[in-house]
Amino acid sequence: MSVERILRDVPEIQVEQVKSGFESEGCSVEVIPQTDGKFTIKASCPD
Amino acid sequence: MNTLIIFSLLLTTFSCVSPPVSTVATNDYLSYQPIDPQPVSKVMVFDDAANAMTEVYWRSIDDEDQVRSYLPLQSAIVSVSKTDQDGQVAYATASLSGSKGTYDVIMDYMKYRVEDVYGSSGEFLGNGRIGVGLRIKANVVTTKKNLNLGSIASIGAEANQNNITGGISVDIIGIDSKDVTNLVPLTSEIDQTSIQSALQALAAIKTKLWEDDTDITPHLIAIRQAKPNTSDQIREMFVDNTFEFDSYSESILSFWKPDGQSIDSSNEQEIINWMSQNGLNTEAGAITMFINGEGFQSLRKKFSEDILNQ
Repeated sequence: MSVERILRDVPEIQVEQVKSGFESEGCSVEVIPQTDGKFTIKASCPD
Repeated sequence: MNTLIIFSLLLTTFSCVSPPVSTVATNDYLSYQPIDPQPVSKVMVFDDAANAMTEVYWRSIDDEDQVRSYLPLQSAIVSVSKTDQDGQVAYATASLSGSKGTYDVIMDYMKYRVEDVYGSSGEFLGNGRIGVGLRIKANVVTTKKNLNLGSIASIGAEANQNNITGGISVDIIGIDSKDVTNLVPLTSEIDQTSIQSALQALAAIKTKLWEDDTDITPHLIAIRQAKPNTSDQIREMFVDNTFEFDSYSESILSFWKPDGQSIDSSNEQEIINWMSQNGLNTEAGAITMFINGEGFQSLRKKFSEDILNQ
């Protein structure tokens, strides 16, 4: 079972920092572009 | 005579064809949908002193009885979904498997509250069930048509007749204590014996829900769409999920990863301990949310004062 975490409105310059943070905690990460140029990051994290 | 023969043939043919069991694509399904549990940090409660609704962190509520009182509903429900060859998931509208295939059967017992979700223009999108519970999930491949997948017990019976293969898993959602951990069944294969032992263990865990030393941590565990394609909007409404990176974020990130890459494990433990003491979720992904989430600004400031500025 996994727990989903979502972070919206992430500026491009911070995407790597957030992605790397979630991955350090064992989560798998999906980066989704928003229409305003920012990104939504969805992390699927182990329970 | 020819007409009679044709009619008989048609009758024979159709009597051998199983009635179709319809499925509805996940995005269009307007009924109960269990989801992977999602942490929910706050609850809206009525503040007598202020005579108004106010937001409270779940973890800040020390009295477990009070937490339970905010979860006034209980239900047990079974949902059946089918995964097709392309990996698309659809919910079955009946408990019989119409055709051979791969099915997920989820039996939930939940103690929960319902929170409605409205869109930006005020339209009702659906609701979420926030709570704790027990979940048995059977992932089965059927080898025959028209099997009864309507209950976990019937799945055991079908497995014993070699009509299905697969595995089961048991999830305890937001109910934690030493006793609960000891009771969690270790199951994998599907057969009547393992299903019976899983059900017995869950019955025992259910009673632990009311004990004083049991930690209750509500999660978003299911949703119900009022209109198609709104599940993502419903789920996103329940989490503190807007990005914000302030000077406190930067300090905590440097404390967690001093060289910007590798985690300092003793500092990480200090962060986790502090988060736990301050009512925050500490499951995987929680530190990244704490550093980058808009809703944690005041707590990041407090962390800096408590830990970094010592």
